[in-house]
Amino acid sequence: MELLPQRHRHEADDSGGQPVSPTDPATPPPHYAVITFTAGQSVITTQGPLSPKTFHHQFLDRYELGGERHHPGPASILHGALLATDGTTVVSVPIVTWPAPDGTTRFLCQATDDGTPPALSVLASSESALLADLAARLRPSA
Amino acid sequence: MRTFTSRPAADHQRSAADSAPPRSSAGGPGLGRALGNDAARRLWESAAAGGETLAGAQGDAEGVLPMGAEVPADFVGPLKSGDTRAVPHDFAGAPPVGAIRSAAFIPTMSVVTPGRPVDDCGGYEYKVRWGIPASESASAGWIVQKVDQSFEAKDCDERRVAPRAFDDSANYPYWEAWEFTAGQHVWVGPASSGSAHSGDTFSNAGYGPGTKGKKTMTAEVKAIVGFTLPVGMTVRGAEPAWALPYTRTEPAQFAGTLRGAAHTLTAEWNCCPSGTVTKRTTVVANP
Repeated sequence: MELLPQRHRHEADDSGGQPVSPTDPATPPPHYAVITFTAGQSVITTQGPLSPKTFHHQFLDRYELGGERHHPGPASILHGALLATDGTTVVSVPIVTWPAPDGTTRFLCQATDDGTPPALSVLASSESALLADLAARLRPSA
Repeated sequence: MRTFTSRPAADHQRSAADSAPPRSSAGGPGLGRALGNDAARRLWESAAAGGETLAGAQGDAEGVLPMGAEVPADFVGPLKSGDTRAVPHDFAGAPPVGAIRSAAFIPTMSVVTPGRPVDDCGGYEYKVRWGIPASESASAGWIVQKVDQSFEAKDCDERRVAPRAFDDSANYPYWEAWEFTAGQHVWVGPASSGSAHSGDTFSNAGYGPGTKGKKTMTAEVKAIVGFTLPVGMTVRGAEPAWALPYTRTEPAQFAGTLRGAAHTLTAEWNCCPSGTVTKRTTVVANP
């Protein structure tokens, strides 16, 4: 029996310079899904396609830092996760919430603050706003 | 010729200011003087344009008084038209005769991560945390930082290495800001984020084997009581400032207030000939 082959992060991009067919089941195009963790079950709240460029930029590349990213404190609660894949690599980004000074809730989709990928960072004042911002940030033309 | 002398300062301010480059003592390339002249011009233009700074605006608009910059109260020499002698907002006691109390003061600066290399060929990280001194515990405003840089990298054949966006001088200077509220609270960006400030970071990956070069980041930071974000200074959620309001246009309240404290980093490396490390990344940071 053959073991699963070792996978390489950029393998899915090696298409001989030709666009990867979105209908080719062997090399599915990059896409993402947002999962909300609710009591007893998880729900996919949204999903959509990604361009290879966006996938690399938002999920695989290091980012540079000349300011500050958010730092969820001890009051933060895990709310869900964003999963993204290019058919070879799967990246997860946690979504956490915390109470803001005005009594409302902040939603943050971000994994790191030290320059290591994924770079994606979105803060919103509601879940719907977060999903809208994620869709805008991740849409293929972005 | 104008000269600067040391200014009186509270202990916390002195500790921050001590880390700044020495002020020009003979009217040379002192940042304070240069800032004053530029700021006066920009503020004049800003006022003439009705608030927003517009390049090319004329300063003789009817009914607009010339505005200037603040200079330290102990500044020696005549002032330029429109300049004002000032003491920091946290100056203890009444300002000297002829001076005003500035809206600006220097925040405390604590080193969280000393400047250090993260790889052999140009990568570094450096993190400092801002704080509000007890004397300003009732104040609210924004800590504003101007960030500038210089960068030069070559390959082992002395050919220029293209900078990444973060190292491209075309993307500098910029201004970024942290809101502070009563009780000495400092926030990541606006207080409404509910995200407590942890530290301002300069970090970058190296350029890899077969390169050599030098990167210098030069920042000036000050806290400004009552600062309001100018139009266009917004959070982008992207490099370089991420969660902080960011602008490429100097805010008038930054230009018009007393000089801030220096915050700098220099990283140098030499990974030539390719495959060897002649000089591992060295990092010098201040503070």
